[in-house]
Amino acid sequence: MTICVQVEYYGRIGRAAGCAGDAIELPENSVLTELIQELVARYGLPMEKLLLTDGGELRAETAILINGCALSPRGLATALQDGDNAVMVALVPALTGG
Amino acid sequence: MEALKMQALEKNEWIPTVCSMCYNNCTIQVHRVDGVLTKVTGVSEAPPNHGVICAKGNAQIESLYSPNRVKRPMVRTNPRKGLGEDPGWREISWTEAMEMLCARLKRVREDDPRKLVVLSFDGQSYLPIRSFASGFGTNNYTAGSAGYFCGNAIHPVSYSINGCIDIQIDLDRTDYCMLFGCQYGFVAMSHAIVGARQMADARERGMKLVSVDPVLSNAAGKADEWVPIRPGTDAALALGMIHLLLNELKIYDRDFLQRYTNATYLVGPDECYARDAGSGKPLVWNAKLGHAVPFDTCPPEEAALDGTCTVGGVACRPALAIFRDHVSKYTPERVESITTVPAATVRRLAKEFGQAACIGSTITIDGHVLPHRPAVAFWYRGVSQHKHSMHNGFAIALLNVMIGAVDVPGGLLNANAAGPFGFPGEGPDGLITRGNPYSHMRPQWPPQEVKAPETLELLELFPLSVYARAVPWLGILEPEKYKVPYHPEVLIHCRANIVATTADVEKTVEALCKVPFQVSFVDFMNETASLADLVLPDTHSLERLVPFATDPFTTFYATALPGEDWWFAFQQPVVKPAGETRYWVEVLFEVAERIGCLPDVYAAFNALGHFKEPFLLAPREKYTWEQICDRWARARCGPDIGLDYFKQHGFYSLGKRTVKESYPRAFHSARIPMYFEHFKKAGERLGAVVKELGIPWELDDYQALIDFKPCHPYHKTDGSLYLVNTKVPFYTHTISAENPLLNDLCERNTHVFPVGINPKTARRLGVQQGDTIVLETDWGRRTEATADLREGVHPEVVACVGVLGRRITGDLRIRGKGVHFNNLIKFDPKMMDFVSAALDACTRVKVTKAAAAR
Repeated sequence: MTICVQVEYYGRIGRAAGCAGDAIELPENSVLTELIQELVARYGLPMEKLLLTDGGELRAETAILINGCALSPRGLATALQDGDNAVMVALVPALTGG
Repeated sequence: MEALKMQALEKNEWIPTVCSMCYNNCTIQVHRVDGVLTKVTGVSEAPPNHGVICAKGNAQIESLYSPNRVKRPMVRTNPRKGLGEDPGWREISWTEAMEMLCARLKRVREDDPRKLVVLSFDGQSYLPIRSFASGFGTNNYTAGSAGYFCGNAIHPVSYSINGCIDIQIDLDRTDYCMLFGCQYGFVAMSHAIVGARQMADARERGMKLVSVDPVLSNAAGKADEWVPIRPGTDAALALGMIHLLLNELKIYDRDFLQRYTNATYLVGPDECYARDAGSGKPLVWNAKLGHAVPFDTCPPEEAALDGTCTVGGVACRPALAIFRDHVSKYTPERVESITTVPAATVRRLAKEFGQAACIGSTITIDGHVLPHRPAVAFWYRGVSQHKHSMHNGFAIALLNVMIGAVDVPGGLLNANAAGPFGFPGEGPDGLITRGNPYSHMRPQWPPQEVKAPETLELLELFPLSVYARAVPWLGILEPEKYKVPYHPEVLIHCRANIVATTADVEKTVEALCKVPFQVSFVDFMNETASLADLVLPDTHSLERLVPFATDPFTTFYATALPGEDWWFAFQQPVVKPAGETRYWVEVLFEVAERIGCLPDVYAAFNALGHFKEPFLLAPREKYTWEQICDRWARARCGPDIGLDYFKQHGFYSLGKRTVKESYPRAFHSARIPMYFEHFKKAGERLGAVVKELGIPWELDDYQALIDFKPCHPYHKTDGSLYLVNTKVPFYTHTISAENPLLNDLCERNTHVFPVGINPKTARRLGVQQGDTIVLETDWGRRTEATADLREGVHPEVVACVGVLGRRITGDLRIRGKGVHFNNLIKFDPKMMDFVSAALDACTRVKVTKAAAAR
């Protein structure tokens, strides 16, 4: 059995993918890690650099919303369901402050 | 409410909005008569200022109606750039301007979006600006301005100590307050109005106020004691006081250190924690059991704070024991030689501070029995603006840690780590992590990843800093040296006159001129905008709609003090925009639509704002700015509190800050670092990366123990004086100087335009009151000033106020008056703190009489 996740790319992530989105098929019971592995496999190093740190953690500057809800920065273990929508956008780093 | 009653008067309305004359975002109402604003007041029931406004707030109508405002788009006709060049401005239409801007940005986005730099200190617009930059695809946003010198040693320290971006003082419950290089409570920084009231009340109640400052500032002038100190040496005083508290007076909060810090963590000869072989957790010595155990399995009272033990055959000591030995070198006599503060004063201050903390005492608030530590040491820009900024900030912060005065009544409090949005958490090694997920800054713990630079700020080389605003010029001027793989093509600039507010005019201008196309949104022409290729007229804050000028989730300054309301406040247009002025964020959103990245901007906006359905912006839809504001309001305040509510009421309260939110320390177990293994390890990682890339970088300050280290000018023996910058309450941003009323206040205050010099020093130099003197750095930068002889200046110092000596202004009356302090600061990587990215504002000048100099 597989599930299908609709992924939308924005900002630098859209540039790395070269398209606005994909329908990604994953094995049942997949978590976000598997989705990211698939995206890295498709789009290579530029995508990997935007999504993951060298230590394999989700980048703090990358926001991923699953069905409109933000993940915690370390939410790679988030379970995915068939029909889920994943929005991915790379953000500028530090901003506020005096 | 007050504003509503007044609205009943036809053509004679009071309209609520938010002040922008500094970053405190006071709630105000403006009186509009027949379409003309005639008066500004506070709103008595509205936080944070409860009906009171300052001189700046009163004066803003003068800026709104100034004849000097830029009101039409203009394009440069002279291709040569420089402060001495006439740009040859030609007025153009918005249509023409937008076509020019969009064509440029479209090309850049297609080529490499990182080549766009967005530069602004418009704190009220951070969320939409950041959304635009993210959606465009650049990673280069910088605020320039204050971050050069100001928060570098506050925000990262506050993240480590309190779990959030900023700090405040529990003035209502403290009995002893030491201000290091700042004027909290004197209308000069955050909590301008309510802080001033609290400070006045506290002094009347009997709180002792000690101001440690090279200059008898407004705050020092009202303090119980002014402690003049040699600039840049505050850390030595703080560490000397800690030495006395720990090693001589034996006044420290043992329970707090055991329970809430890493003081008990065992440290080996490699300066790293001894760790549990299985879990990797730091070990502590359980004195009752007589062996080492993971920190989170030991009852706090059984964890040793001193002694030596053997773990795995290696001799280890608790972090506090190592720190005690480390600070023992800061004897009062040595501190005196470093700081000029007499040894007896150092001893007395330490004793007073320690005794005032009443260690062991408790207080009951709303049924909660909490530790009561009514003593606090507070710091800001004066301590931050130095070569060893990060160490300076932590040295003073640790004074509070030693006496247990962190996030407890009477102590140093978190601005917004704990609130309706979150609560401090426990991260790796049990250390505190940020409590507020909405904050836009990078926390210090866990350290950020180190890698080859991608941003012009070289953020990737600052694993422990919150930002790196002193650095972009390095990325622009010397990209090859710092391995930045591109050159910026377009710079969008708004509400940050960086040529005036950052160091070294020539270097800043050189960097700006290297960017081929600069767009400046301005209300008044200034030095930075004079270098632009395209000038676009920005609205005054009384002409724009900004949700939220105050958002407690993201705005860190002037957040709710204990018992005060959490509140949201809208800035709304109260008059039609002058001429063809437009709010720059609305312009950028239109640009995003024209160049095809509006869906990306909306997606970033949703993510950065943490919005949820049904308030998410659909990326493929199109919203007006008012529709976006309405959704934003409802997302934060609930489905019934939209734009119309705010237009009518101006602000919305979420209710009082609770005891748990005000004083979270006793409600969580995350620990504060007083030993910094992660500094050492981050330095090691950083060292490996810069070595591989061949980038010249300094690593000395990445050490586990906080230290005093002198700035470069400390060792000069040529009789030159430290030039020190100080603040007056009616002058905050460069826009203040443009205001006729505030300029008049400056004229009437005899200490604003001249430079202060101690009479004894003046006599030695042959300088008399009112003499014209020359200030000259050893690298050839010079300026003239009028001497103002006064006792309230450290003998080794000349003191100047604010950002003056302006060259290009809308109002000619301010031009050239006073001293441009920042232009006498050298922009040189050697002057930078390679941990916090602060630029050292410690500068020495040779002072001579003008006639003699000629």
